[in-house]
Amino acid sequence: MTAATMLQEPYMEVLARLGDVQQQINEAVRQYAVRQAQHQILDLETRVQSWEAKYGCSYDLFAYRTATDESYVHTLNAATQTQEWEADLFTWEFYATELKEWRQRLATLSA
Amino acid sequence: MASATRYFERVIARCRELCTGVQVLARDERPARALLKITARYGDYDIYITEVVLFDDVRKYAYYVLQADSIIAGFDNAPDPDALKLKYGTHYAQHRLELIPHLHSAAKTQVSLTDALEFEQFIAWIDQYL
Repeated sequence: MTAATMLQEPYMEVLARLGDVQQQINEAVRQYAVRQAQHQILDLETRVQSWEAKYGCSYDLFAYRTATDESYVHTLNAATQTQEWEADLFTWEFYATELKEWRQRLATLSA
Repeated sequence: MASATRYFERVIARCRELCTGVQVLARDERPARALLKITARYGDYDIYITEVVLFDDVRKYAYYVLQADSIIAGFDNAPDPDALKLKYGTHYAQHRLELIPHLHSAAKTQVSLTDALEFEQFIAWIDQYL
């Protein structure tokens, strides 16, 4: 996917003196996209870490245990702090999946 | 995700019509998935709603009715092992990735299978059974 954009005159004049304009634009956009991806990842990591701290495991392990381990689920159900674990599961999955996808995007930008 | 936006608007609007103290705790709409979390007061009960809508219109939900921090009823479609076992018997673990609509009652000590539920049906259930 490509997109055309208009470059404002002051920027064009400076870049034209520095070499290949298109190459410089591509590099500037790449650096901006990398910073934005890093910002997203940092934010998502903070969110995911809050559930990792609460349940003491990764999302994948939590999802596996809550679907297969009856005694674990009964323990979660019995405690006030964790009785709403299904809401945590879905919210955690939401952000863990976003985090995984943003890490893949960053890897693609950095390749 | 326009369908998720419309659905969330409808849930929030109905929640404000029917409940008091409505707080949208989280609303995060992204290209592939959308999240909504609400808390509100309905009669004598606190209710907590979590909805996740995926790009293919798969919907994951957890609705809780609480009284004094105890779950009176909880509807969700997580692959809970008790619910999986009710539906599939001893080989339930093979189905651990499926969404299983079910109801928790009696402070989450009892589980029964249900049809998939939306917010309005949840409120109607409270009116009928609590």
